[in-house]
Amino acid sequence: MPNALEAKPLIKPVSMITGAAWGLLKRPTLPSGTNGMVVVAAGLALLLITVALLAPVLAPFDPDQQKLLARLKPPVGFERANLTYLLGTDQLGRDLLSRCLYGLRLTLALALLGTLVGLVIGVGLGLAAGLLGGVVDAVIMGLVDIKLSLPFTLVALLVIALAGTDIAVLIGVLGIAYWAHFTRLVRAQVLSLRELPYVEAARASGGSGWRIATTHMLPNIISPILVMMSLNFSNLILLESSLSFLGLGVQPPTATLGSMVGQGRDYMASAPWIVAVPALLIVLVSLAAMLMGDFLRDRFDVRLRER
Amino acid sequence: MTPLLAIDRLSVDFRSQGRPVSAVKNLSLSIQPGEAVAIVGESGSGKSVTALSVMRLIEREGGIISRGAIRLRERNEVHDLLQLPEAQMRRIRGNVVSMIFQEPMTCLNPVMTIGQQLAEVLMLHEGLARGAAYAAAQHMLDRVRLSDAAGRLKQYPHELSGGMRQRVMIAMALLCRPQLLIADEPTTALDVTVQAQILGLIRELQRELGMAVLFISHDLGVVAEVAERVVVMRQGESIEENASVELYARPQQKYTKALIAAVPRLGAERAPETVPDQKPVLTVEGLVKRFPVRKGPLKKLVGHVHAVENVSFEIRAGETLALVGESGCGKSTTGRALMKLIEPTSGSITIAGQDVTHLPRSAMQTVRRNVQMIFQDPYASLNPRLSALDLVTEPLIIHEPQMTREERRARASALLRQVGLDDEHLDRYPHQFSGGQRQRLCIARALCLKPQLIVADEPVSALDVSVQAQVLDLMRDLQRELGLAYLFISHDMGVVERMSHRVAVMYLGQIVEIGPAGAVLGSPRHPYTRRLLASVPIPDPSRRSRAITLDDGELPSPVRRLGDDPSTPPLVPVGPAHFVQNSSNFSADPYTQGSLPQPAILTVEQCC
Repeated sequence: MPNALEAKPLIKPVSMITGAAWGLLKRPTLPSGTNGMVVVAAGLALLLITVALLAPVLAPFDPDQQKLLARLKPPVGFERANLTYLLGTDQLGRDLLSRCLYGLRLTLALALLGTLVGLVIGVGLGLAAGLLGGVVDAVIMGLVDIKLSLPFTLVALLVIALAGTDIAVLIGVLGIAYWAHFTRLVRAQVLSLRELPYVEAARASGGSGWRIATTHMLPNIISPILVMMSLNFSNLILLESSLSFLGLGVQPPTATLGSMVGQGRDYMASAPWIVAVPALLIVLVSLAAMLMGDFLRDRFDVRLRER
Repeated sequence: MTPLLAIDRLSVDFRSQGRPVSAVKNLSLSIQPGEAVAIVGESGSGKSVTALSVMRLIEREGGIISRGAIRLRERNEVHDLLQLPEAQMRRIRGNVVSMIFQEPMTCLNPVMTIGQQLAEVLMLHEGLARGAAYAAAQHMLDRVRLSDAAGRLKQYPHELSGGMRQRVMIAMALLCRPQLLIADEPTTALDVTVQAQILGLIRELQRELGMAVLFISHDLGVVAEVAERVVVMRQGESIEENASVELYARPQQKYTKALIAAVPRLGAERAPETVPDQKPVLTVEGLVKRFPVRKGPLKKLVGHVHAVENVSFEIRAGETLALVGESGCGKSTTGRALMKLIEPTSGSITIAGQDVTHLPRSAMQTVRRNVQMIFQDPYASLNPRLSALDLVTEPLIIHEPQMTREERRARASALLRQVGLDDEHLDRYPHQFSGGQRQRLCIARALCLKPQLIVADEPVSALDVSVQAQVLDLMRDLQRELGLAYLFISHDMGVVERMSHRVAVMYLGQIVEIGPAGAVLGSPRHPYTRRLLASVPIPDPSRRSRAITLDDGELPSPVRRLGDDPSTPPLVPVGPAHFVQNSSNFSADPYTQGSLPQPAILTVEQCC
């Protein structure tokens, strides 16, 4: 596998960052199906993450600094552009490049933490419901039905009204936005795996519920979980922006990609770049998240490795 | 006379990770009108690929027909199927060549009635009007000896048993009067008595309709029942072809000889000698397992599935007790109850002198060391994400957590050698093993804690015959070395005879006959045992004259209403250690009665 050896130095640091929560990434070789797309995805993810981490170094200006004299400057390459502001400025004269860098950083952090919170709650409850059954199952699935039948924006409004607009509260709100989806997914998978002979074999050997859940269930249902994670990651970015738009998210002037799109909306006709630049970044982040999700799914599947 | 079908030097390739893999190499075969030809081979020998190539369905599966020709004669016209456009090919499928598949469960659309599915074929292919199509469908169901054909048309597939569904599939295949019927393992998913019925049906229909049959099977016993000519395939090549009487009597190739020798046949092998009396490892007394049947919005209890009714037996060290019966007779439920995978409703289970019937989970832990299980499907019984090392030593991780990884590795390599695998296999994952090797892994896992008893639930029924023989030999060797006791659950009488000292026959949740293997299989006393034995296919076409004239009865249902408990007549002795259920209700049970040569209702007087 010559191409795998070439790709290794690039893949390693990426997987260390994106997959920090997953201890399974110590395998040196790539799955045999590795193709160019993975390298592109990994490169994109690596670039976005590096740029976000290095925001304080890379940003030419303070992201919140207003210069009313330099309002609504278009990006370089357009008429009236100012070379000082590479991506232009917004309605308050803040440098869009700097805001995007800081916004990207906060957005990535919020989406990642929110996804992880949802993942832990959802997968834990799903495993419990599927494996324990009976009353536990009924209670958990009842909660899921309640969660899914309430409009989430209302719940978020209530929580934030009660607990305030702290960043930790926001992460919590984002975390509970999608736990029910994980729970339903995991429970359904567990129910079908539960009857398989290898799970029975483990039970017949005296394996505890915990062991069956962690050794026999989780590794075999990781694929759909990873795919759902990457979908939720993108959804959370959008959810954060709608919360910001309602004034419930990160408070101005602090930038997130979502809030930048929300606030730029009024200037869409006269200064479209205010919306376009952060929107484009959101697209790139979502794309990278989904591609990485697919890549990790294949990587966790021992069956896809060389026979 | 030109043959109906002539396959000429056919080669089919598959592309796997860029490399072409040849599935069929240079195969030539011809079938005369009205002739029954069988292709026999183990899995991966290319027999199904050949069948799908004739139907031109192999391209959909990713196969590439790289060379050769397939000529089919339709009246006076000869088509080269490989050159025909898809539209023409669609007309040929079903009209001239029809196919039936292995799994009658998944071949019928569950949301359409039988009548709709059959009539659709006729309306599409023959342009019949609705009424005429239904009438023809009903006629065809009569033809495949399905009782109450008019009623069946209105039923949905799930309302029929597996055997009935396979009859419907055959009816569907025959609707347009094909000249060639391709049957790909049509009885593999069926019980042995149902298999005998279906084989008999195919033979009769072939004669009645003058139709040619291409029969594909891995089972030489089944093939001997139907085929006039046999082609043996191995690794994509035809290695021997002959008239079936000749082939079975005088096989030319070494592989064919080995294949025929590996087929377990009744009476060919003496059951192993019974071991001397010892303390029983396992004693089961009055075991009952019922599953509740609930109906309505309030989940009202309306009845029970009587899976196991009053089952008692014991197994001594070094002994194999076989539990035989058809699907649904409760043999697997009994095995699972012993493992405490399900809680028995009543009765008692004693393992190695300890009553485990009502032991709590935590206390079961020590008992589990003494009893381990091997499952039927070696593909599903190994966690695909664990390496062989972790799989084989999983019981050690659970029972001896203080063991270091190095110690476990040493144990695992010793275990793998014991079951005929190597150290190099330790770090492989299940998908890198063949079916037989996987079953060896399962056996190694079961041996890991040095148990006294192993419950083996159909351990070889998913394996090829030659592999089957190897695994059985391994199990017998291990029994001799380690003094293991086996509870051997199986539906295959030949395998049972090869393996067991004693045999218990289960029917509708009860043991109806139990005794030494030689006595039960050699001189069966219960009508059901006789029926089972009469259904076993014999790998010898010259003995086919033995008519398969079993009636087309269906197994009665084990579901009963509340309060309608089945009677559990006692077992009475008929010979040394040979007991038979003495039951008058069998005379009222049409399934075990009627078709049998002599009604054998035993009375106590007759026995003693």
